[in-house]
Amino acid sequence: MEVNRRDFLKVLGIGGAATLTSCSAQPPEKLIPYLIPVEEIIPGKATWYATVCRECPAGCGMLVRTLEGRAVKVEGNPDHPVNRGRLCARGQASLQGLYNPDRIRQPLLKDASGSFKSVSWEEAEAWLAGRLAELRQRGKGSGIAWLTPHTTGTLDQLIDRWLQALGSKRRLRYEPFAYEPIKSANRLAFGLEAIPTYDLESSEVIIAFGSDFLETWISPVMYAREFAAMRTYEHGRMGRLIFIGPRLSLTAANADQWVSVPPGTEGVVALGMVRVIVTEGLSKAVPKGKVDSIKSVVNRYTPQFVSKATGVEPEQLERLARRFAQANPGLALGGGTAVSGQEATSTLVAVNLLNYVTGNVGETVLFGPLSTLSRLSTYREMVALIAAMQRGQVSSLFFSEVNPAFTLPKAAGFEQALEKVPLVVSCSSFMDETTAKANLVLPTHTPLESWGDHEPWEGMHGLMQPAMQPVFQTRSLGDLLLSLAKRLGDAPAAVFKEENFYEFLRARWRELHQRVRPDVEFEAFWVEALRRGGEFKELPARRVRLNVGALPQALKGLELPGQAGSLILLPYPSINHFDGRGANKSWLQELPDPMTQLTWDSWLEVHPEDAKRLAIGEGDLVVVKSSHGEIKLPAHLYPGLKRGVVAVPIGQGHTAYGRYADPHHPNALDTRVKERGANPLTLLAPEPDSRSGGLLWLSARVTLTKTGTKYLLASVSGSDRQHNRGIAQVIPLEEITRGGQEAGHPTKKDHPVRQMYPPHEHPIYRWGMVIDLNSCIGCSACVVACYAENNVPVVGKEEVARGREASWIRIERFAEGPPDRPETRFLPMLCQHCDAAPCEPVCPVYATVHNSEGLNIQVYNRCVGTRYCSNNCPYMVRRFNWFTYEWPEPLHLQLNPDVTVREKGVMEKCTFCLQRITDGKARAKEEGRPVRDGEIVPACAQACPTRAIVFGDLKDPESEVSRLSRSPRRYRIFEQLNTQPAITYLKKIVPGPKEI
Amino acid sequence: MAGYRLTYANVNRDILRTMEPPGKLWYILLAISIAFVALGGFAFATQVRYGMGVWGLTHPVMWAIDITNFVFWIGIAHSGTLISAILFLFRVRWRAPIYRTAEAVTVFALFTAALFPIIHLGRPWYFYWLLPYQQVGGLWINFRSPLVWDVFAVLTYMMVSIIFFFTGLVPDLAVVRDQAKGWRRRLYAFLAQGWQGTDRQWRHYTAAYLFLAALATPLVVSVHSVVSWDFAVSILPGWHSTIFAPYFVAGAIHSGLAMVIALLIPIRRIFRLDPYVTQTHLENLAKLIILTGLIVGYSYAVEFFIAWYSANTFEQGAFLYRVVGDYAWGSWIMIIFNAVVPLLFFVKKIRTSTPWLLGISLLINVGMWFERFIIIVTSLAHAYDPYTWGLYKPTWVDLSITAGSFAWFGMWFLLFAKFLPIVSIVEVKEQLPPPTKAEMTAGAPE
Amino acid sequence: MKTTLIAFLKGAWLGPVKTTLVALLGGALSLGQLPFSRMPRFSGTLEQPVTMNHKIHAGDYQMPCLYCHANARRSTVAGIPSVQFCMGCHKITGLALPTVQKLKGYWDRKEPIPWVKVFYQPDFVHFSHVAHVRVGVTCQTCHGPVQTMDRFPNRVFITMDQCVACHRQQQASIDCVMCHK
Repeated sequence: MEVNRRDFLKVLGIGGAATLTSCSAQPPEKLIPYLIPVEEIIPGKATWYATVCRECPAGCGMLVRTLEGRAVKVEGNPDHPVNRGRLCARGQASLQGLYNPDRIRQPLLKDASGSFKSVSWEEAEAWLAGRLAELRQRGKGSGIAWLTPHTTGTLDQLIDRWLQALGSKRRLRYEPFAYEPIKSANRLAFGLEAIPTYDLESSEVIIAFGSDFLETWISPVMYAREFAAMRTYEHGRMGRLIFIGPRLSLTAANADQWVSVPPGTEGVVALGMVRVIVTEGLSKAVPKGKVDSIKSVVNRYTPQFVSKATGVEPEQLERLARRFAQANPGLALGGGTAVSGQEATSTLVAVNLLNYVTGNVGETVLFGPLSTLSRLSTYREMVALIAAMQRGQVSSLFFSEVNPAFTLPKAAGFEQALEKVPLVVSCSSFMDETTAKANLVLPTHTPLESWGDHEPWEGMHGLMQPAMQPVFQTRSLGDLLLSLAKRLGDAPAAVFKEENFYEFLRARWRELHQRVRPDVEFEAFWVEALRRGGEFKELPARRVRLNVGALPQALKGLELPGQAGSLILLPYPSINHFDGRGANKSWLQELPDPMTQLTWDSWLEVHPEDAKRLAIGEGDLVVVKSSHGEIKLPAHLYPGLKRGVVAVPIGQGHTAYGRYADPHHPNALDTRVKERGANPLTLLAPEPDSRSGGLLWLSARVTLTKTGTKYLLASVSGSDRQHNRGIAQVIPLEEITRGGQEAGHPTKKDHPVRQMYPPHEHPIYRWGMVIDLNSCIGCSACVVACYAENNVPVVGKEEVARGREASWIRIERFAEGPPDRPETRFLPMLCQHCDAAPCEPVCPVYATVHNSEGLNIQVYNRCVGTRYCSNNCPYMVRRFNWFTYEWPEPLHLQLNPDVTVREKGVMEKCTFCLQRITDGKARAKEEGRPVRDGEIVPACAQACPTRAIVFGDLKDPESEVSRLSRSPRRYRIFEQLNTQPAITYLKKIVPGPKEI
Repeated sequence: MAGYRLTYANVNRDILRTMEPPGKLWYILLAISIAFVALGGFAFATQVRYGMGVWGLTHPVMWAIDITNFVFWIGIAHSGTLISAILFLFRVRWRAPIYRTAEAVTVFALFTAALFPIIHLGRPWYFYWLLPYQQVGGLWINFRSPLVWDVFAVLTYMMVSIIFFFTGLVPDLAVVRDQAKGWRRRLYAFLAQGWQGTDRQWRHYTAAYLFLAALATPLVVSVHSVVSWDFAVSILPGWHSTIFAPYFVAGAIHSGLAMVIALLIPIRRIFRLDPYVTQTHLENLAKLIILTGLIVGYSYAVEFFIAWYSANTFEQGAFLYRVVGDYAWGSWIMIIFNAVVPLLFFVKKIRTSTPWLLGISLLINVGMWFERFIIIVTSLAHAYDPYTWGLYKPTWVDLSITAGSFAWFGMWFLLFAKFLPIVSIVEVKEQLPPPTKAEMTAGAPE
Repeated sequence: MKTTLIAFLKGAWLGPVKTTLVALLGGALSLGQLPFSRMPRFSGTLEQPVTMNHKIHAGDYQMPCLYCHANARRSTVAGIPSVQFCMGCHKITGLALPTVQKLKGYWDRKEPIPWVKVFYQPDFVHFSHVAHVRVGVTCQTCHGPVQTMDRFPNRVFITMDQCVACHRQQQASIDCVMCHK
């Protein structure tokens, strides 16, 4: 099969050429066939390759859809235990990394003038080999340092061995979010410095202390899936989530209750709960002796004390504690940037204690399989490296796909230290703030082009294979290191006998094969792994015991942070951009932040009360000043904050990360927008946390001063409230429980259907959708999936600000309830494919019509653009092509050939992924059978991490979609208009205050 | 000019005088309007080149001043037919000297209005897809779409009013022909269609004119009703309303009359036509405006009442937004200028004073333009789903094309004023006592 | 009244009416011809790099179309045979012919042949060869009598009229999204 693959790679560049037509008005004049056909590939038929998503350390499994040798869509791999077929917005956008127009296209060497000039690989390698050889002669080999992101498996080994071969041990696995406090807290409490497995799915009550597990924390897709499972209402039970922290994050917004406390006091609440539990004898599976010693430790945390410290009412605390103690099992999570001050470790020890006394350790907190994130280097080690660089002990620094110049506090002085390093080599795919400082840039493959493997959790070996031939003259890091070793002569060369990284990988997998499945023959094992996307083995959990003696010491530092007059800065990882690595992808830039609904930007969230006090208005440009630096940011009034806290998303404010991240880039999309966001790390303290060695995200006190200029914030939301128009509806839990089992519970009368014209005939199928608002968490994965599948154009900040974003599906965010107890509702809104569609009769040219399968179809080339249909659509889901939008080369390679690329002046909208329906029906026809239920899945439904969207045939009463659309929670939006939508929504279930 | 006595001779002389080679002022005005038409043309070219995005239109406000202008000009067109056809059928004598101008306004307003349905398309180069003929793959147009009804209504109206206008001109053109020399003579000879004023021709002419008048009359009502259905048959709160047809027709005549006054006053001044277009004529128009103004005011009241009475969240939201929302200023302009200001005409002093007449009729035109703007934009800006609420801000393209449309109308009207008799010679003469022999020989006394 | 009506109906007034009508219609028509041609313009010629002759292959030697364009049987696109495929036969047959030499040249240079595209359908149309082949539509129905043609005289643009006519005749679905994607 490899042989084929090579030919395949050889011919693809040309083979692909014929297919790159979709975005140009001028059709191609040449047809270029394969020189040698590849049996994997039939032109016009998609091929799927299993690999691993490397957009964040979670390592979800991915399937890549390729057509004529170019990857056009990525989807979750159903066989992968982390994400079970689902993928987040960032994963969906990994394609824009592969085809990023600002990728480095060939090696770059910095000349005397300090500017890069492109060189051939031969030159680059020769030059580098020379420099390295020279270093080793001068005995400076030990000064070579390697900086990688979270790397596991084969590549990880290769780099270590390569370093050793050159006589060095300086190796850092650097991630900005390295979870140091969790590790140190587990060391102190359980004597195991690691990140455990959390079993959200089987928990009944989850209390999250600051950890944004639905956004960026450890493994968001996995947790979103488990969370949704635990929230589903069945047999009268439904899980609860309580969020305790200073900011209403997406996770907090999905909680049944958000307890807002001053930053750094989460631990006090936890201990308060522990005290209630142990004093009231509610603790589970804890030996008597331990209970007493725990009592003594937490004695001072009386409800009164807690409420004084945190503002949490004593009754509320007691209710929470009791509820959590009853939960069977419960789960307390802690972490995230909200819990990252000096007191972070103590806070998390407190959380551990809470889990311990409620008997969750070993139940829902499992020390095995451990997350491989446990192996990350701490921030302290990074600081040490910087110091070494300062002292000139680092003779050369290699790094790949990390951007410390952006993700470290400015005050840490990484950039100055970098000056002191004689040889800096970047092995990255993109130019960024750090790579810009390198002497030599060796562009590497993106994960979608490389062989490799990744082990997110012990025993879960995901296998990566190239989904297509490299887009540019790049090389895989593995191959690069191997050939360098060869050039470095005998000693290093001897270490590696493998020809290339592919061989090296297979060698490692031979070892794995010996360990796990020696019974089967290796090739079979290997092909199976390629097909399934890896080799996954369940590992047993280790038993841990609480180290009570250490508690008093471990819980130190929970005395309250002194409330100075200045505001506390809470930087939080953006769900779109993570630590900033997503910022060079236009889909993620255009994707509205789920909570603030803002796009293309970062901003300063200020509580309206604080804003009033400081006379700051929405969109005022503000100077944010800390003792370490200052940045300019627009203010966004955000009620979801504890007063005295201001929050800033991390990830914007790039200065050298391509056209989409950097507004000053010559090819930037917007011409008038000159500034876009800023990097909050400028404001942070450089010193590592003395206890955990982590970065003190929560360290900065800031002062705000108005600049007097107004700043354009591109929000996609017209109104935060729904003005009692019943768009996103809820149903009280008791109403459901009173009805007992869901099925057949008559809580709902459908609106009578009135029709002047004869009803539509749907002879075979009638496509429909059900969206469960109880599952939707507003993560917006569906939105990006739709962009990728349907060639939806990106319009840029200015156009979004005018309301011209082109997204076919949007997540409407409505704020309900009083400001102190905000209730956030998310609602995916897309074309409702009405049976009596208001858009149809008004079109003068029949460009939009109802078809025989219940779809409301839009014939682009018939549309003349009167825009009447949009005016007459009560859901306002139709989007107009104001201009002919462009896909800068090579982004156009990602365009889906099964979907028309629309030209200026035509209306467009959701088609229920018509191309997938056509494809599904064709397949069924080939096999001479009707379409199976669940066989056709639109991109949005496929991506949804919580299975909130279900698509299918409404004519088949047994199909899942028909079943769900009979649910007592069903409703249709604006039913009274008699539009008879094909989309049924299921009301969100809200427990009353007493039921939490 | 009080003692000025109208005779056949005077009439000929006075009215033909208006067609003498124009003065500087005319050329300046023409130059200005052509310049603005060019600007509008350039703006449209930009739109075709780059796409509709150069307009200020956006999601959700996909129609704004493009359609505003369309409805506005259709409205202006109404006075003409009303005055010339309906008043003709009712044998209203005072119509004679002003109906020519009124009809001209109609025809040129239609020329202008007819541009917008094409301009506002996302792909204007395919405008002919809206015409009823069998298209590729056996496709037809959608007869359920109000936009198709528009095509029929407007084209019919344009056709009929042009024929009516032309027919009425024929005898006068003959008079002009007899006076003219050189190329003008040939031109008018063609346009006069060989009119000799024979008894037979007169008999046919009067019959034809009568029937055309009868034919045109229903259009006054139908056309603007159809236009109003563009909105009324939609389901948008603020558009979806049963009173739209009468409400729009009244509004149309309201603005039409105002426009006629606004044009007559300068004309009669410049061409010294006071003896023909007298204060009485203007006063009568003013009286008509009182009527239409009252109807319009009533419609406004009803709209708001129904919105409140319906107890429908969406209706109430829409109308509340109109008067207190982002475009409230526009709503107040519309209410005051259209419904309140015209009431001043109840005062005889005001409706007989030229400056007041001119001022008020201009205000009414502004008011009527804003009426359409408010109906279209506010309803779209705050539709059903609050999440999609948005605002509309015009760009230079919107404004240039609007300015261009006014200039386009002005251009035609200027040409009309110089190349055609702006007062009907024939009908004015009809109302004069036939000349005595003495006069015939002596000619008109000075 | 009656007389007037008759007079009206055959009256001289029709003169102006005719004139106006003619003017209007003329205007409308000339507007219809606005210079907005959407047809793509082509620079290249139809001269194929290798003068592959369908008459010889499909005509004289009676080779079925699907022998070379095999993907039409299993995919939406019929596909052009790979150079390797051509060489399959021409390693033996007709080696002497200059054309075949040319073909061999490409093979030796390991270079695919840049054939010139002849049949066009717009980008917004989804057409599946396999669907049509399966129900027994002959290639000639759309592509013409290829087996009799030495070369294609000019480019062919498949139009909606052809598709719809055939679909109507065969009672195949004429749902817009059968073809429009």
